[in-house]
Amino acid sequence: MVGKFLNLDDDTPKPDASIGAGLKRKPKPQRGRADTKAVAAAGEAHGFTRATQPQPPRAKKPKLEPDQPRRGRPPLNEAMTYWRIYVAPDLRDELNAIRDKEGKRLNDVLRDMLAVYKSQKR
Amino acid sequence: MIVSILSPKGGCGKSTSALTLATVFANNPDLSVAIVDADPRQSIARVWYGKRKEEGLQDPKFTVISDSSDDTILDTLEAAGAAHDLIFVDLEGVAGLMASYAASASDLCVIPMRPSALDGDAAGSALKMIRDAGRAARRDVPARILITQTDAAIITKSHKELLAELDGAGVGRLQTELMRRAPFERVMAEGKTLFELTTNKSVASAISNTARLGQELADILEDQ
Repeated sequence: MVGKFLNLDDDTPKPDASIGAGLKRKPKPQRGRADTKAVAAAGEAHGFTRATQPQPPRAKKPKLEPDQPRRGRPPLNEAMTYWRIYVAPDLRDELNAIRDKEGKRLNDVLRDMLAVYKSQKR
Repeated sequence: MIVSILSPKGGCGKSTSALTLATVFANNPDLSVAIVDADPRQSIARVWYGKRKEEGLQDPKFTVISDSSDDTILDTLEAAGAAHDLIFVDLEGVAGLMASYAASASDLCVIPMRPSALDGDAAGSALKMIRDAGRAARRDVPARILITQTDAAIITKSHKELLAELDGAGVGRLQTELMRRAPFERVMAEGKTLFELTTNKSVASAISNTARLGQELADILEDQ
């Protein structure tokens, strides 16, 4: 492959079902247990210092009760689009109060408003 | 025999190399093959294997062992070495103690790297660490660079320069490179082995590429 501009020749050999057959015949290597401190020091000399421990399983987030107000990003199974808007501070406080008391998000309030608007237009 | 696949650089193809190599060796029914997933992210033991379970696929022809603790990795490798003919160790892409421990217990270390300067720097650190971890364990641990994610059609200038530098410095490298091919990404996304993907020319090329790499690796291990 070295020295060739094009290396398109990687699809000629077929997979060999006997690959590694020689390994089966080889006796298993006998290794003495290494001195872990010496090995660690050898790695540390080259910056291999980070310790690794298994990560604890992630705690499941408690499911929100249906009557709890929902905040933040919507669940992934809801088709929602991110839309940044500017509102007056007092209006935002009022909308937040509706969300907390009634569980209605801005999306729900806008939907209600749109329905009213459409009904009045008829 | 234990083959550790390590590099302090993430994204250079360690898990993909481990998974695809285990697949081609496990294709030999006489050979008992295992992967030790020592990466805390558990890309193979949790993500790939979990996807397999989700899809209702049968167990693969190789065993997947999970251990991502510095405290127990040497015991795990010793037990795996006794139970299997060939073990691939998939390590986290960080400069961790775990890599030193695994290297000290390995019969061969493979350092995947993309043809880039950053990967080259990381591979250099890994080579020095393997040499010294082997010395600390009073063993000679051979190492080979594996060039990954190369373009199947064109060898870039930086790629050619990298090969020249590696060869000039006498760094051992596998002559077979792992090409950038869609099936290597599909195995992770679908929880399948290369042989389980829907066959097309691209899959056949990926299998052929890995088989050739596996053969080269087998030759090195058999000659030791």
